Order: sequence, then C-alpha cells, then structure tokens
Amino acid sequence: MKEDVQTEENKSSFVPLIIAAGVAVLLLGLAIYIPLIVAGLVIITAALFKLFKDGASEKYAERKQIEEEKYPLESVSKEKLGLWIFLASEILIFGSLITAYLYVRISSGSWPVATQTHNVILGMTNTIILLTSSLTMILGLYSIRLGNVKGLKICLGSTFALGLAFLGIKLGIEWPALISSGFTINSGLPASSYFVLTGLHAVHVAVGLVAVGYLMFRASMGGFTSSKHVAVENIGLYWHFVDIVWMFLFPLFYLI
Amino acid sequence: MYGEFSIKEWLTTTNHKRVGILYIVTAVFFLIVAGSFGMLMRTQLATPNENFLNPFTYGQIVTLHGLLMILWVLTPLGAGLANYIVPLQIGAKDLAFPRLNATSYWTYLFSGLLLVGTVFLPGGGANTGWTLYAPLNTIQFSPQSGATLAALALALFAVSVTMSSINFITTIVKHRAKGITWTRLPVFTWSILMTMALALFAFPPLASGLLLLTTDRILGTVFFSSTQGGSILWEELFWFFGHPEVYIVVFPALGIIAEVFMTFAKKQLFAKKIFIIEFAAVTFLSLGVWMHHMFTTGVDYNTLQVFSFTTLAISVPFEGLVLGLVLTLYKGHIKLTAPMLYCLAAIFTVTLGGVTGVLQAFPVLDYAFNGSYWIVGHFHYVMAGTTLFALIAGLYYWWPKMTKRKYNETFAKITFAFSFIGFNVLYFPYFFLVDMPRRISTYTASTGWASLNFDSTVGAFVFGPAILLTLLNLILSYRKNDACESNPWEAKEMEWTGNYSGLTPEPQNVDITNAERIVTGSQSVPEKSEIPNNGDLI
Amino acid sequence: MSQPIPPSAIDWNNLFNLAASIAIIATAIVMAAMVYFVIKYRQKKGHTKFIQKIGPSKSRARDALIFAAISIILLLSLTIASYRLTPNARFPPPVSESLVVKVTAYQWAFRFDYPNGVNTTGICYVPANKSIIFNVTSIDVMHGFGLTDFRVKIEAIPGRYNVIGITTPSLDGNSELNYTIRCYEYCGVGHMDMAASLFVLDPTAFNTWLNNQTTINATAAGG
Repeated sequence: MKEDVQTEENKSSFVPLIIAAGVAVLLLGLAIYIPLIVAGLVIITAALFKLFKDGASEKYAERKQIEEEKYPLESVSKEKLGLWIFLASEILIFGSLITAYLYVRISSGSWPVATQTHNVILGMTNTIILLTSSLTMILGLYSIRLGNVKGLKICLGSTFALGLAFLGIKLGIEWPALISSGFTINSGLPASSYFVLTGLHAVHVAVGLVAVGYLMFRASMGGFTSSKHVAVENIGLYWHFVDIVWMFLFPLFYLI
Repeated sequence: MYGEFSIKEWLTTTNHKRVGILYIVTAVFFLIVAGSFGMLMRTQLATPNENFLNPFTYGQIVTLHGLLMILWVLTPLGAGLANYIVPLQIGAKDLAFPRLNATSYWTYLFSGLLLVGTVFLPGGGANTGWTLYAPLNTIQFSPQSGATLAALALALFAVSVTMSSINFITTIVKHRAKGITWTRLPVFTWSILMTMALALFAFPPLASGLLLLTTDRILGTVFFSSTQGGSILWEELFWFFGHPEVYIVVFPALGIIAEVFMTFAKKQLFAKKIFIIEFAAVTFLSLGVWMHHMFTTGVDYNTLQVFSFTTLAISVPFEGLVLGLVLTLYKGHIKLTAPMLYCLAAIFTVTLGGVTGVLQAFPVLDYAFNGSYWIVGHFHYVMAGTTLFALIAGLYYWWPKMTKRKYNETFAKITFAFSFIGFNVLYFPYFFLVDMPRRISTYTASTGWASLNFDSTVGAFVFGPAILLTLLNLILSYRKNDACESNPWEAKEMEWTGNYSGLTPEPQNVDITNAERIVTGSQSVPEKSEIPNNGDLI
Repeated sequence: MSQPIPPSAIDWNNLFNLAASIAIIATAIVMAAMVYFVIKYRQKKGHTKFIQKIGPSKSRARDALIFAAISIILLLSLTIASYRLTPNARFPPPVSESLVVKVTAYQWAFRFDYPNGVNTTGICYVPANKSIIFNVTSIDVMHGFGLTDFRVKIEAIPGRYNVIGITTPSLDGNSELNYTIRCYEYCGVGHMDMAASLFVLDPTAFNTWLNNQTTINATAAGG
C-alpha cells in the first residue's frame, strides 16, 4: 500500500532519522575527532529548523478526536503529560548528579569554602534573573490566554533576554574568573562537581532558549490564540523546571 | 508484503507497526552479532590454555556480548513487540508521539552501530565487562577512544529508552479506547507500562554516571579517578540503574507468557488483579535492591543487610507472579503449540534462575558466588532463558498478526527441543563452576574446569544453531505466498479483533467499538445485563 | 593426604545445602504442578470454549496471602540461619588474637605485607589454627581477593582498605596446606592469570620463615 500522499493517517517525517544521525555524528566527534562535533551540530540544527517549520505549519497536529478512556487524567493534555514524564526523568538526572556531588563532598572531608571560591553576588544576580524570567514566562502565558499576542511576544522576548543574560554572566564573567584563578575543571573534585553540574544546567538553559525562540517564531506567525497555545504552557513548564534546578544548585555550590 | 514499501517509506515512517518491525529486525541483527561473540567465547573456553583470541580481544568481546545482549537485543525485542501490539490492545490509533517513537528507534540503531564500531577504532573498544567498573573505565587504564565512544553510545541508548518510556506511558494513560478501563487493561500492556515506568527511573542514573565518566575521560574531571569518588561511586550509580534494568528486560517476557498461556489454555489469567498488584510490588521494590550487587565491596555491612532483606522481599511477589502464570493452566484446555512450549520452558528457567538468585541474596553465600560463573549461570537462566524464550514465543504468537503468515509448526517444535536441551547443557554446568572467575579468557588444566567447560561448549553448539534455525523458520514463513487467517489461535485479546493489520497505516484495525465487550472476556456479544458489575476478571 | 576443609567453608556449605534444598524443593513443586497441569488438562480433540472464571475471588486473595506468609516464613528462617550459622568473615576476631596481613592487589598480582616488614608476592605463608586478618587494597584498578576454599571474598579498591578474616584449619597430618587465591573482579588483560597461593604452615615453621626473611621482595617460588 503506497502512501506518498500526505493523508490524515500518514505522519511520516525525515526529522527523526536526521536528528538521530546528527546526534550520533556529534557523539562520534566527541570520542574521536573534534570537527565532527560541528558537523553533528549542523545536522541537528537543520533537523530542528524542519521540526519547527512543521510545528508552525501544524502539519502533525491532531485533528480527529475519538472518545477515549480518560480516568484519572482527564484534564491533562497528552503533550503536558509527556512533558511531566520527561521532567520526572530530568529530576532523576539532576538528582543523581547532586547525590554524586554530595557523596564525593562528604567522602572528601575538607572542601573549599564556597563563599570564598565563588562570587556569591553574581550567583545571586543570576538567581534573580532566572526567577524573573520564569515570571515573564508566566505573564506570557496569561497574555495569550487573554488573546494578547503582542503581550505574549514581549514576555517571550524578555524571557529570552533574561536567559541570555544568565548565560552571559555565567559563561562570560564567572567562569573565566574562576578559570584564571586556577579553579579549572581538571583541578580536582570541587571544580569537577561545580563545572559539570552548573554546566549541565547551562546546557538546559540554552536548550530552553532555543525552545523559547521557537515560541517567538510561532507567535510572530500568528500561531497562538487564546484557545490554542499548548506549546507556550508546556515549554513554560520546562523553563520553570530549569529554574527550580538552579534553586538547588545555587545554595549547594555558592552558599554551603 | 514488506517489499511493497519503498526505502523512503521505511526511513520516514512513524507508524507504530512499522517502527515495531524495525525494532525487531534490528534487535535480531544485534542478536546475531552478540550471539556470535558468545559462540567465540565458548569456543575459546572449551579447552584449557586456548589463545586464538588474545586477552584484549576476548575482553572486548565479553564487554560487547553483555552490553549488546542486555540493552540492544532483549530490551528492544520487547519494545518492538510492544510498539506493534500495545496500541492494538488498547484501541489507540498509534502511540501518543509518533515522530518521537521514530526518533527512539533511530537513536537506538545509531547507538548500537556506534558501539559495535568501537572495536574497529585504533586501540579497540571498551575492555571492562558490561559493568564498566571504575577506575578500569578511566582514561588512565582504558586510554583507547573506543572506550569513550562506548560510554557515549550507551548514553545515547539511555536517551532512546527515555523517549520510549515517555511515549508509552502517555499512550497507555491517555489513549485507551472507551471501555478499556484500568482493570480491563490487557496483561501485556500492563507489563509494558511497568517496564516503561521502571525505565524512566532507572536510566537517568546511568546517564548521569556516563556523563561523569565522559567528562572524566575528555575534560579531566576526577569523579572516578579520585579515591573519594572512584569505584564505589560508579557502582552506586551503575547498579541503581543496573538492577531495575534486569527487571525491565524480564517484564515484557512475563507479559508475553501471560498472553500465550491465556490463549493456549483457553483461560483467563489466574487472579488478574492480584497479578497486577504483585507486578507493581516487584516494580517498586526493584528500585530498592541494587546494593546486592555490591555485597563484596566492603561497604558497611548493616547497609548491605538491609538490601539483603529487600532482595528476599522482592522474591515473594515475583514468585507470586510465576505461580499465577502456572495456575492459569489449571483446568484449562491446553494446546502445546510452539509459543506455548517456549513459555513453559521460560517458566522453568525463571524458577531455577530465580531460586539461585534467592541464594545470592544472602551476603555470606554471595562471598562465594560473586564474580564467578555461578552468577553467569544465574543471569543467563533468567535472561537468555526466560526472556529470550518468551520473546521468541511472542514472535511466534504474534507472527500471523504481523505478517499474515504461519510459520512451520513442526519445524518450530523441533528447534524448540534443540534450543531447550542446548540451553541447559550450555548453562547448567556454570552452577558447578563457583571457583571459576568470570571474564577470564582462558584457564590452566590444573584448575579442573576443563571438562565442565567442554560440556558447556557442546551445549552452545546446539543452542546457537537452534536459535538461528528458529529465526530461519520465521523468515521463510513470511516469504510464502499463501496467507493464513487473521486469528489462527482463536485468541480473545483486542489485537486479534478486526481485520489483519499488517503494516498498513490505517489506525484502527481493531474492533474498538466493541472494546468493552472484548476486554471483559465475553465470547459472544452479551445482553447488557450479562456484563459483570465492574468487568473484573477474577 | 587430602586437605582439611576450613571451618568457614563447612559453615558455608551447611547454609548453602539448607538453602539449596529449599530452593530445589520449591522448584520441583512448581515444575511438577506445571507438568501435571499440562498433561492433565491437555486439550481434547474438537472445538473448546473459552473458560471465563474459576471460583470466587475471595478465595484467590486468601490463597495469595497464605502463599506470601509461607514464603516470608521460609525466607526469614533462612536469614536468621545465615546470621547464626556462618561467622561473618567481615567481623573477624580482634587484631590482638590475629595475624594481620596487608594485601595489595595490582595488575596482575597480589603482594602480601607482614607486620614485621616482610613482604612476598604471589605467595602468602600463614600459620595453622590462627585467625588471619587481611587488609585488602589496590593501587590501580578494582580487583577481587577471593579464597574459594574458605568461601570468602572481598574487593580490592584503590584508596580503601577492606577487612576480611579467615581462620586457618589445623594441618591434620599434612606438612603444609595449599589454597588458591584468585582475582574475581575483571581487571584487564592479565585477569585470568592473577592468582596467588596461600600456604598454611605449622606455627613453628611459620615463625621460622618469618624471622628469617631479611631480604625484601621474596617472590613466589612457582605458586
């Protein structure tokens, strides 16, 4: 049975194959040949462009609704449920990494004093920036719930700018200062734990920025209305999660 | 049938049936690769002082055999069948996120290719055993880039599984057809739900450990090269994943055995509600037993004793599951088809493998077992035995549904006999090799291990070819021109209703308008008053 | 003459035999039931109907509870037995009553250090009828330190000392006893050759040997 015609039931797409290939090339590059990392990133970016285009054109959106068993999660859309389950796995990733950090710290006996190693002011600033970005994200959601597309775009833009500021302070000011003072990633366990955990968090912020960028793109094409804005809510949930993780990392590394 | 689709259609498909077939075919490919490694190992170990595989080659083969079999063969075979069958069983038109499903598959395939590719790199692949213990896995003791790539491939696989678990859990929660309430959910779907929920919690710690290992190897962090972190940190992270992983491997098998027993004993599952409760208990408890893999690490003994208790505790509901399956046969009308035979064999191996596991739950007994061939015997009984046999049974059982063909029943029974006999000759001797360490590439004649090892290898040369012939039987059937009827087993579950579904993209081929009647087990369409109170099946 | 079985192995064997017997009986019962069902309830020729239910659900729950209770009792008994029957190698007699030997595992051999500074590689001499405490560590990767004849095993982990104790048996007429130590944790390409010999000597002979060792690095004489 041939279906090269896009039908209701035919949801075929090249994106899964290309994204998987891009990630594989990236990992191969990490292990054996650095330039391949760039190739992998290029492939992933290309696939993401296609993915976002498809998302904006709503090519794969659900159309038919059939009567289904819904108990006990009647009011939760499948995208939101999927995202919550994803967040559960993320909680375990960060949870196990934090546990590993606590394990090596307790095993170590002595550990450098946090307030002397890290710039607590900058850390606090970043915390406030991230919290504010969560606020703007929520305001954006409320805006679109009321049908205010312009408000949504302003809030998304603010979130994006604040997230960018977070990364800028961390990667542009904090980390260079630490590295020049000898606190480098291979200088021992304290630096290892700090850079890996905050680094992974920063990667999550960066991914969040890409997602927010996608929302801005879709909003500018008029893709969101007061009744149709599932992506805003779900990506907002992800953003809040990334914020909450920082709420744990900040005291664990900067204060104690 | 499959040839009607173009390559492009296979590369871009997101349909659950086709993705399921892709999983199964790929898993079979890795089965042949990893199985060949097993045959090589058994050939070398048949006689003392063999060195046709030098120790480094042997070590890589041991590592790949373990990693591939557990993660790239057994888990995906279950996932492939789940992909095909679960949406049909619950009357959903596809999984909740079809493109994510396809992404799961392609990342799985590429991660496996990367892993197998590590042996071709200069310096070779990982040489640590599948458990990748620290500090042997660090750059100091495994300087080859192949070891880094192996860790990354494993991490990619963890990502693939996490995507699958998000997909399956959402699908089963949100996309059941009207009438399929939680108590009426088919057993195989229940087993997949448990598998995926467990995978969601088990794989992240592995991913974290691999992240720390990768930063150690590439960026110079010191998590596993320091003594404050080191061996114990790795073991904690790895086994927190590793123990639930083996339940992830075996759960789909239990679900398949339940389905096959129901169909070929023409009976409902014995005490389905209790079965599901026990299943949930095993799922939950499996997150709290991991340190029984660490009984010889010298960790505080009282802590280890706690885990000994939890390990013994988990054996209670688990044996309850096995008994529930056996009691399903009670007063049934039993037909000994090939899938039925494989499932009966699987019950035997899970009982034997399970009780040896109970013996290992005592730390003082484990002092003798740990790191020896007894352990190898134990886990091959439950994995190569129960899981593989049950998955083969699942393939046989659902073959007419997936391909509209019937394999040769007589040939299947013959290969079953050889598989079962070969399996036991291959693995039973291991329980008598308690002093033989694992992963050794050879041994001297003075150890006295030679005769048992030789016997075991004889079994391997019966078991291995028998598995290949099983696969051949399936492949040959699919090429026949005459199709079989759509429900040759007269099975009663949802996936058998409606028309043959094959690989067509049409979403609803099962009889979802009658879902409620079907899952409550009514044979004919009853009057309203005949439907039991809440559809319970016990 | 055959070598005596060390006391820890005798205790281990007793516990193992008890547990294994219960395991074999349990397996036999389950298998017998399964085979019996398969034979007795074989489908007769002709079309058969699907059977819906067997018995009321209350008895099912009660049966499950009975089964659970039996299993728990059995397992608890075995646990208590495991506590009682086998002196745990990880809780050896006090240092004052024992000979303490430091074991350093490395790729791919075992080195033994005695309290008076003597060390040997690949061979460990100990006196008979004595409590021996091994302080096990590694200087590179994880190894296993396993004495199968004594049924004890502990891992050699870099940066960590793991303590394991044995009690050597009496010579029983032999001039010396020879037991094998093996590495039970995969440690690289030399893993299969990583072994050592434990020689149990008459206490006088042992003391003579220990006091006569003036040179360090006495290596294994074919162990």
